[in-house]
Amino acid sequence: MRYLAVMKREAITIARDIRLLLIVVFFPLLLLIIYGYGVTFDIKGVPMAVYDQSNSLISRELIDCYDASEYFKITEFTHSRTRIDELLINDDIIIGLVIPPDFARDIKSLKGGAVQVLVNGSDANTANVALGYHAAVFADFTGKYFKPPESITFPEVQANTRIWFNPDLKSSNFIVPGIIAIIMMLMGAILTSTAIVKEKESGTIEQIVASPVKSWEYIAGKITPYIIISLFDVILVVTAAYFIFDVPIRGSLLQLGFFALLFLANALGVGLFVSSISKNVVGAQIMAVLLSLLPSILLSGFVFPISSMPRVIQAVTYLVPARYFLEVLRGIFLKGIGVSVLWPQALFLCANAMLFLSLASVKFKKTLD
Amino acid sequence: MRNKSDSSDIAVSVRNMTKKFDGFTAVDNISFDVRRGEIFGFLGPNGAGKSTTIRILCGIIDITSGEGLIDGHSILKDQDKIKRITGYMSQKFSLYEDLTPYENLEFYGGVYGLDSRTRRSRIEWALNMSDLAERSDDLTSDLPVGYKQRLALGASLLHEPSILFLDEPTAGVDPSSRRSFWDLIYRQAQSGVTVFVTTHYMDEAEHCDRIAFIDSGKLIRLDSPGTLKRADLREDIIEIMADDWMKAFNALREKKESFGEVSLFGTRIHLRFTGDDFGDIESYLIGNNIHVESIRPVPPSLEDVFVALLNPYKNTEASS
Repeated sequence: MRYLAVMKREAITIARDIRLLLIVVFFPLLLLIIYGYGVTFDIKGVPMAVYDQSNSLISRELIDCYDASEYFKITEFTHSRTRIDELLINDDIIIGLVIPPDFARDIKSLKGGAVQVLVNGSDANTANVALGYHAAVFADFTGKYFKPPESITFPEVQANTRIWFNPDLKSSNFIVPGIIAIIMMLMGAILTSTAIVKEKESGTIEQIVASPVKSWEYIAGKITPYIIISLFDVILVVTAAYFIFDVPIRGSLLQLGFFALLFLANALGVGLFVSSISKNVVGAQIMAVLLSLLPSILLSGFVFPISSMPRVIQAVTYLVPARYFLEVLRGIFLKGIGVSVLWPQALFLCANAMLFLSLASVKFKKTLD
Repeated sequence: MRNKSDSSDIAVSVRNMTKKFDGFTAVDNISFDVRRGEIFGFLGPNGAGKSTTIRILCGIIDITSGEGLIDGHSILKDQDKIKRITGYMSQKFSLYEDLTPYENLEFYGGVYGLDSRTRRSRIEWALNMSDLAERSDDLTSDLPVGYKQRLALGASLLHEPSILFLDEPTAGVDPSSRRSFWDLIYRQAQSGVTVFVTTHYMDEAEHCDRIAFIDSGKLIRLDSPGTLKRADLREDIIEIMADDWMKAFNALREKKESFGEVSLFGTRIHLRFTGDDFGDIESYLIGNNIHVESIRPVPPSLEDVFVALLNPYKNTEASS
């Protein structure tokens, strides 16, 4: 009864706040589209320049190998080394290929040839990927020209690679689940903490505290609308991911909902904890970003794989609910697995939720001093 | 038997209440009783501890030491019972600005657990009382301050509390709205509600049945306005008006040993006269080339009492 009154009032406030409505509806979609299209680890058409001093049939064969692959785009044939340097400095190219004058002769004489590959390492990630492509192309080329004489045969060892779950290695399949986690953290932690601290700031909390409403009735009534909003956003983003980015949903939607609720309990726990220790809205928002959003992006495995983090940081990630939720999301979306495999994540999410909610309830007193 | 009837006459009982914030003592060991049905005024300068006392009694902040009883219920143990029978109106307007008056009242009706029939009739009562029946669907943020105050009063009375706490209810309200607001307070008191009100307006304090003077967290004096004026002021109050009132004030201050303490009330000078003949004052001022417009004894106001009460206290504070 009192809970309903609190909930209804909060709902009216949300409905009257146009900025908030925009955040709730458009922000998740915006985030999805920016990340979905913009943050892609796939690289195609790596810009490259070639300085071909050999100018021979063989050197042109090599260049064709690059040109034919969709991973490279030759933007310039230069006539000097210094031009390559210039292009690298200006970030116009990522790879510069320098073929020495003796290249063709050396190869024909079976001495073996050498080319120089200059890589723009200022963006380490892209450089790494480009180097990988380069190695593949180059291996192709040498395989063609350095076939052992037919008289000698080696037993052949072949690696047959097949990529599971995401055969095209599409980044969006990997990123979109992460965005769902971030959006839920944002709605759950930041909006709820802001909503409660706003009442402290405007003084409306005084009147509430003087009333017989109980802490749990107040908090439950206050956060219910945000739970509904968060779930609405999950549906919105999952639908958009499915239709816009063709992200497969191989697992059960029901289980997705179950895990989403579990994760939401974590987000609300963080949000309530933040609201209990903050005195004003700006402080609460900064705190909420620090405690919820940043770990969800940086320490969850969304951008950087946890396995390559230093040990200490890896230990910290156990306290980042998004870490488990991300594994869950990728599992359900891409692998089609469910609770039978993901139960450890479910347990960790439960434990974290209890930790955050109890921290919040210890700190949250109904009196104001 | 007698004890029992005595205690039921007491609406609020405070014993040795102390409140400290990080080493600063906001309320310093005060004790007093508020009788049932009276308008009890809590008077004092800003920062004296008035709001702190009210907020402790309403369960908004914790007491550091001491005890408070509201209708016999302890503020330490029976907050739930207390909150059902008390109404509170905070110093800062604290209804929701983004809700309409009707929605605000409906919210408080819900929070105080009124059933829907009672709620509807009480909301109607509150809207009529606060003169908002025609603006009940406007946004609260668009209402003039006077209306907001009355709406807040209506919200605090929605659940028909027997004790009403008002913390500076008329701060920042124009004089005519203040008057109509006090009419509403009177009406509540007549219908049997105990009203505990803080103010720093002396004219408002005159409306109270009894007044507690509080300064720097200490209770200095508690009595009815009439008794305070009779008992606390032995001296006559002489009001002096002069064209150069500042010069006159300074001149009189130099002679306070023979004439008495002076204080400024706007451009008028009040002198707590300790001499024999106030004709002496006039000749003294004329001797100082000050043109006296009028000089006459006036009935003491509460402000005179307040100044008289605070001065010796302030002096001992400063010397200790």
